[in-house]
Amino acid sequence: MLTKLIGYEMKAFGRIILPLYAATIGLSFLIGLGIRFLPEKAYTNWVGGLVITTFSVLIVATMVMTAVLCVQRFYQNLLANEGYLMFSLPVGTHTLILSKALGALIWALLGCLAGIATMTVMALGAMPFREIGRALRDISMALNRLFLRDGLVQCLIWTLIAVLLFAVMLMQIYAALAIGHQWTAHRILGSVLAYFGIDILKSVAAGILTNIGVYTGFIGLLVSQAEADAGSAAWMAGVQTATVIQSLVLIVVFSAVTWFLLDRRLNLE
Amino acid sequence: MKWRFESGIPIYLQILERLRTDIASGTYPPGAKLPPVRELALEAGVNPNTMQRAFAELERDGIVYTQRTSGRFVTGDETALRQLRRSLSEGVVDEMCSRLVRMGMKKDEIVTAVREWTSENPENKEGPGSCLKANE
Amino acid sequence: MAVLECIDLEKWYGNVKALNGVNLALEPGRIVGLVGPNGSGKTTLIKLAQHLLTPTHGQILIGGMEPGAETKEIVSYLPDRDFLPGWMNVESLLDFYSDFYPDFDAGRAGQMLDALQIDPHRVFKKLSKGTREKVQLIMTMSRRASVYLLDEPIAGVDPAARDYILRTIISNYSENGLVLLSTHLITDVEPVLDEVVFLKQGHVELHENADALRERTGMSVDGYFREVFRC
Repeated sequence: MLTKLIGYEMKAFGRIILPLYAATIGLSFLIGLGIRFLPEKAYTNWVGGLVITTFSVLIVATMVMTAVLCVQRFYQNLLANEGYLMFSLPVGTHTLILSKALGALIWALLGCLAGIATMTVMALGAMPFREIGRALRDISMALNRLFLRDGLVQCLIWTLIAVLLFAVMLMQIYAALAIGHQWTAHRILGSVLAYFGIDILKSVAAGILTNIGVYTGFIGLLVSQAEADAGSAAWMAGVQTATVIQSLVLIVVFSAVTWFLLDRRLNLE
Repeated sequence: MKWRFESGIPIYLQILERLRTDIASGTYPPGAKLPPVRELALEAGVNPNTMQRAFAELERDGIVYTQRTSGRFVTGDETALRQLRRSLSEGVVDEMCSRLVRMGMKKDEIVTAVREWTSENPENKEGPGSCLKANE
Repeated sequence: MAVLECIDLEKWYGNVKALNGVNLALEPGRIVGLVGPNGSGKTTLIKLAQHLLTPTHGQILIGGMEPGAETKEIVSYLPDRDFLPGWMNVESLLDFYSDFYPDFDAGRAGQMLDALQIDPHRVFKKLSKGTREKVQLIMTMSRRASVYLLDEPIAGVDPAARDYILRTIISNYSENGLVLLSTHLITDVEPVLDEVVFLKQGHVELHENADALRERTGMSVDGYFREVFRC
């Protein structure tokens, strides 16, 4: 059931996003060819300007639409009239929430891949093949320099962290929408207020935890440890672990809030 | 023919009345197969259970019988059908005569009126036969 | 055995009691009219049966189970509004129902759509309001469900459409299915009802066989309804 639900997320996003990907990637290839074959001054006239402007607009539109759809698929499909259909399917509320979150995550990742594809295709258009191989080597060396240790592993860890941070934001939005849904009117406004309310709660919680940490001497321990390790791989690993733990805790809390409100306090109108 | 129902009378009774009349008048001749319950219910725009109840009643009276695989049929038994016509016509005659009485007619005047009507309308194959038979 | 059962069912919205101690047992194979004036709790009862709301007190059971994923498998629900995704075309809606409901009879639904000459490639939101309502009814009635919950299926439709809707219900509900049909227009649905449930201010005022009620009162269900709910 979950895979079928995600399949429908693919269709719902795809019909809007895929044409944008195609247009962006297609145009980037043309720009690449232009860079390779046209004289430089071709970009200073109005045609060049128009192409570059269109290209920028397409990229921004793709990103904005992805973000909008991540929110809208949850709101419109679960909390508005379509909710009558979705909550009548023989699946649990947790499956519905999970399908939305995974769908959004997949499209966020596809967006990154499409971005990489755009750049690659532009490069393909712009330079001969020999130079592409050299460019790839350059990139991997740059990554190696950036992440002290083996570039690939670090790259994966940071990707994981990026995914987690995205998931935290997504689940915070879902929780905020579920809270706003409790009102009978002004639900959007309620959701926006709820989102910032959650932010405030988060910083309050962080403040309390820090205070506890200071009083118990735990923070002091960490700080001295961090000073000893500063700049080293161990310090980096510590930061990463802390981020992962914090993200996981927030995801669990937001998911629980969303599930409770949708399963026990659903308020379709 | 369109089905109409009056308020305040159980619908299965109204259906029953209608089916009895249809069988008596030969709309469904002796031995004929009756439409399935669901189909007839759909035509009448009523609940299949209500239609079923009317059929069950007809079956109890022996006017209709069920063959397990092939469906429901009107009985070929002439006595049962004659009985049906008589009971239907009794109702009609009763209603007609009491109206005439209310209009101030004497019983022998009613008999005369019916005699006159029969001589003016020579017997035809179908139609208002039940009224004539009651006065034979 | 009752297929839908309410035991001391209560639902509060804040301080307002929408349902106030409903006790009800509905048997399979019947078409039951859930009638009552606006605000009497009809929609609330149906939503509780589908777990779109949760009871404040008491219980509602479908086939002996509390509403949830398992009961939704055997319940076919028609809400009182457009609920299908507007961007999908009719054909992909058929696929959607086939994907999620094992009891969905796509062939039968296809036949009914064909009979109405609805182009399966048309996008749902581009159909006329009347056609949208018919498509939603066809989807709902093409499931071989144990319980059909139909919330105001004939509100605001013309007489021809009303006949179509009632015929579709009669000719498609599975023989052992319960049809619970809420309405405030009783005259129109009277001939198709086995039983009626009168809801009055959140409680069951009456639950009786429709023909028995006509026999007992010498009135139509609608006439009796007017008597009971006279303002």
